[in-house]
Amino acid sequence: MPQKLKEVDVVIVGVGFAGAILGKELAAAGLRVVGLERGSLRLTVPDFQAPQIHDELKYSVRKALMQDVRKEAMTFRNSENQMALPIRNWEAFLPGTGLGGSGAHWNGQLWRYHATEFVYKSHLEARYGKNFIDPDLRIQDWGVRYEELEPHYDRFERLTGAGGKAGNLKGKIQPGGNPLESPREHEYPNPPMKEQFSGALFRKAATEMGYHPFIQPSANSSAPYTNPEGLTLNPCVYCGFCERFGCEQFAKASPQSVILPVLQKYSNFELRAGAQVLRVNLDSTRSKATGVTYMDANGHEFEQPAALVLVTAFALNNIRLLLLSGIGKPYDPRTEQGVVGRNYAYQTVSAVPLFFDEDTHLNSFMGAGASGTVIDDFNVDNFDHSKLGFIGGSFIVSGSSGARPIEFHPTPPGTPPWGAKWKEAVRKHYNHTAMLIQPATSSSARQNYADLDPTYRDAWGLPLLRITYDFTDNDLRMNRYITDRAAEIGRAMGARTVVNAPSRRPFTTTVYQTTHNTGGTVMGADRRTSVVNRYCQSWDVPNVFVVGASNYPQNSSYNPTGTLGALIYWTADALKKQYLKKPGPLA
Amino acid sequence: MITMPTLRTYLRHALPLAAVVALPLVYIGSLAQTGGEEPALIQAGARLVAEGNGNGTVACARCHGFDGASDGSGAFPILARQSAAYLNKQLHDYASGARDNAVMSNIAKRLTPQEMNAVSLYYQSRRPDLLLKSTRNQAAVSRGEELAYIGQLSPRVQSCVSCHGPEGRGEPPSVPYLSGQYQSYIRGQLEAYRRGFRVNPQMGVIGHNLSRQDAEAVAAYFSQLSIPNLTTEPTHGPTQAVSTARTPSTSR
Repeated sequence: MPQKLKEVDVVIVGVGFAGAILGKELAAAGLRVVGLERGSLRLTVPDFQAPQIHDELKYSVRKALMQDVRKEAMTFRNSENQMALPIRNWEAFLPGTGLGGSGAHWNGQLWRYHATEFVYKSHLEARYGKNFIDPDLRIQDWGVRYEELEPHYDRFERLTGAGGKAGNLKGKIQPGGNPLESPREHEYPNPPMKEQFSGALFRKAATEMGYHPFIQPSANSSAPYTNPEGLTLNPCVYCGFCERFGCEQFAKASPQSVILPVLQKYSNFELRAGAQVLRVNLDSTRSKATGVTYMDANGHEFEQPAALVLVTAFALNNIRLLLLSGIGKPYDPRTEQGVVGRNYAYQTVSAVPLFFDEDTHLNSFMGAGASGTVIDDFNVDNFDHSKLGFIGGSFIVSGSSGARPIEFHPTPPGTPPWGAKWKEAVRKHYNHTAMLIQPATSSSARQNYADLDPTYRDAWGLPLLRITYDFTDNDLRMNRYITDRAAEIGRAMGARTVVNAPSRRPFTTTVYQTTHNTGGTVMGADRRTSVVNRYCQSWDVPNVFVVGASNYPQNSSYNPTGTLGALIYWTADALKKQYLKKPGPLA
Repeated sequence: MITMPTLRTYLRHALPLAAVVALPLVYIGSLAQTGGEEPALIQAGARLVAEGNGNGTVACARCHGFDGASDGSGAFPILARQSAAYLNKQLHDYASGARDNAVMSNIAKRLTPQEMNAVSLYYQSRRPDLLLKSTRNQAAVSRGEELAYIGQLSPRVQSCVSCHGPEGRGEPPSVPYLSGQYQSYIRGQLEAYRRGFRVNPQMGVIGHNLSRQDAEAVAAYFSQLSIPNLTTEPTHGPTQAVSTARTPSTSR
């Protein structure tokens, strides 16, 4: 029998950015809050200090900060007629675990989504007609508009000390920024990051081709900064150990660096690490949550009663917890009934390696998580799709987040994969190879979804999440077009060899592409096609809120964390201004 | 998501022939590019150190010694075996006023860029005989070691070795060594960062967050180590960091 604990006001499942910020907002409002984190407690000092944190083998190759696949994995298949198998090594994407979640090991690429993305379906239908979109796609509007989220984007950017240059301030185009972005009310709190050499080459070529390059917005900390919570960030040192690593410098914005020390000062907040939540408990009506059941690291089971449950785990684990708890109807791709697991999307990433001559010293080992030079000319609906026959697009970025010794040794096509000739090629190309990367959009589709695996179970005896996914025809057409544009720029940059290899089927979990998993607990205005309403509140169980990239109806080219930050503060506002005053379904 | 592992895995995916096996990072530049000039520059640096430059710059040796060991008072840092690129930058910063020091600013303003480079290379090439320093305050050394390797959570200070390398032996060309430096010099520089006489975005925050007692402790820890034996490879760029006339060192 689980031990029943004393009831609290709020229980939070997963203490990453979403859990930590919502925890702080609600603790500050005077509620008794318990944060449950399945992983370990870890802090910048001592856990992220160099030189040990710069251990590429431990953190990048062996993924020390990621979910432990020996205990809890996911199964994967490309289509319904295959048998899904468990992922035994994280390669394609990297779900974090431990205090701070994926916010500890992210790269700090802090984007806002474009205004048209929040009304994606209605915008595209209005511009190109109802029959333009491939029939297998299930893209939809978010139920919340950019203009509503703008102040919340701003708040998250101030929290994280975002560095960048506004391109559109209140509708006025600003030099130096991204002229294609949606209007901002305020300038970034910090200047842009320093431009890398490959980025400068990219900027020159892209400008000459008539595009609009700018330095990407960044949460790496471009200057010393004290955030509104009173926490000070040191500037980034461009060490080249950002994604997959914790930041030793108190530079990269993470829950550890920008919010947790404030949250932990509240005596009405309690953090419990090593707490694996097994399910959200519902009462007999199945429309009210009574709390959660979790198991601690010693295998003891606890029931934590709570008036309000916030599901703020990694996107894929949000889906799984709802399925395990019976909150919302699971999606069935044949009948298209049900919503939980629906609209799972990924990204359609391609890269264009550029091999320069030996006089071009790129020094890519001096990298930061987010200091690339970018064009947005082929992203979202910034270009006319009418004759192209696809929807979506991508930003194109040149820049390095590090060229670490174990994993970075580019060689051009035709190089033998081992031996003296390979070594010679690595020596020759190490410092003279740049990358253009296109993290293109992913359209949600009827056949791509997540559900509970019928065969495989985790260390607690519960079914794993099963992902069924492959690139859609639309996305491959789009990616081919975008990759061609990137290759053109690469040639204009003066690269001797440009490799143009767009995405292709099948999607494989054995190659790193992007950790940006979205969908499955989609938000929206229509409960037939969404799991949560526009305030991230469960349609079926109104005292459960789900906040994560799992709320996105389709995936953007932009990295998801900025929009997640906006949704976190948007949800916090709805909770404080509406829900706490009158608990129940929000309209 | 844009990662260099992306490059690795992408190449593996897209280019079946692209090999992906670990190889230690190997220096691949041309030693011949500037190596030929260095002995002459070091010679010119030696002359400056001994005689000054006839343009108002006094002999560096007056305070820093011929061998870069300085006079032991702690007012003047040990320069021997310090990264030439780092020393060169400091001279430029003194000249521009970015680093505020009444004595060194006047000197640096009267040096040409060529002379700055020469004197930096000269001092980097020196191997002084230094007295072993005894430790009077073991508690301070222990606290300093803790800060050096672990840092502290609040107020925020990252570990010194994160940038200055294990034992504070430096990460040339850009990051100076601290090991074996005079205690009062290190403490004084932390104070200078705290007060803004010396400006650096990283060290400014650290200087601000370290208490004076902890600054003393850090200085005590590093000062009782030995100065490093620089064996790094040359790097590209206008400031050639390392002499090609390296000799084995016994300074550790």
